[in-house]
Amino acid sequence: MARFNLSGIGLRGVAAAVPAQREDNAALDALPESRRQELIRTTGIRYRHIAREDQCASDLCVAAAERLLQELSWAPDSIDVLVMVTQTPDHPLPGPASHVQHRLGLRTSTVVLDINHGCAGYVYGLSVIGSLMAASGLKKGLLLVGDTITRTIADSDYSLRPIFSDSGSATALEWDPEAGSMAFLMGTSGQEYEAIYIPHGGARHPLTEASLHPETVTSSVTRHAGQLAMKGQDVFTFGLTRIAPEIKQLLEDTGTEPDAVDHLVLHQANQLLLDAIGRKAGMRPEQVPSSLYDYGNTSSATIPVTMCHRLGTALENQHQRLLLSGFGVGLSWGSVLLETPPLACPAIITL
Amino acid sequence: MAFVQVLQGQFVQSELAPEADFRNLPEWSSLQALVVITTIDEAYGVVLLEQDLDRAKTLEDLYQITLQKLAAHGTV
Repeated sequence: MARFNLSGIGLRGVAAAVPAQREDNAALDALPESRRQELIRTTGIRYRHIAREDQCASDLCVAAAERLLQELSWAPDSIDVLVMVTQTPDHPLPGPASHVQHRLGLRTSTVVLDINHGCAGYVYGLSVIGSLMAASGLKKGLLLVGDTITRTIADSDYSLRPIFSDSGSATALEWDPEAGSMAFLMGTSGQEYEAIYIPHGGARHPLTEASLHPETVTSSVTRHAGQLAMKGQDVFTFGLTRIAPEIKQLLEDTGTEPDAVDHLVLHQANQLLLDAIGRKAGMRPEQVPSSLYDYGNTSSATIPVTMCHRLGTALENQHQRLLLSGFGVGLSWGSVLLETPPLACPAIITL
Repeated sequence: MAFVQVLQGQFVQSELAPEADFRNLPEWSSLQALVVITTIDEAYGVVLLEQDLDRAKTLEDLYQITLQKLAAHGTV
């Protein structure tokens, strides 16, 4: 299994930004009232934030990063490495990180990297930037993680529209020999790559006129081949059966009791899964924060959004032992057990 | 029947019975299927898959499949 430790890298802050425009699941006119209530009850999701046409994941991440740099009094030219994780880049190429480097005023001698990753992307991103810094001695890093995932979803897809939401986040890291170690456990099952995917618009199936013909998948789902398709039941089963064992494995491997973890911050897929995974991992409900009601599933950014929305006070004032666990597109999964000193953790920015 | 009692809490309109054709209950939807799956998992430690639900017509069928999986795999 992919189990490794990184030492000497400390988290210094987390910030997140969401678009101001909000959609309310209680007001989804195309669904009968009873279905809307059932939706909110079972998924836990009420409000979702929808980026305007002129807002991209890069914009949301830049806003979060600027705020974070301000809070930390870090000069932009002191940043040595920038890693950006997104599945919704501004353009098919180049990846968004290079333009973001320019927009943030970082040095041209910054190490800049894009990663295409989804719901496990925060943990993967952390493992990459942490590894870069630990191996190289680069001192200050910014990890940007976010998506305008709603833009990939058909308005007429009522299996996905009520779930997904847009956001961008920034995490600041610093080389710190005193910092404890981060313990990672990751995995990927590429055999299941079609469980969450957009069929057309890449090199395998370029986007053609035929791609854009809407197809009625079920009575409540109409979408075309350039839009996100998810095998909901399979993905749910994946979450329900394969994530808690990973978390337990990581706890066991590091000799950590569930009670010793302050918070298990899971990818926010739906409340049923949060409850079930938390329970199976031996956690009490109070240990498992949820940002679903106000923010829905913000794809790659659900973990930092949840940290900012629910754990801001704790993160700012105390040392915390956190277990972060993301899972989804790939299919892939990644968990990390880490300790944080008091962090800069401003309230979520609305753009 | 205990299995039916476990599920009753998730069905506010219907009075459940083992012979209930669950797909035709007013509460039934793809989301309700997930609720049923997690409820059974919590009570019995068994996760029913999409193909398990496809093989079942009544709650009694679901119960039998749950017992089969429990015997075969133990708790998940």
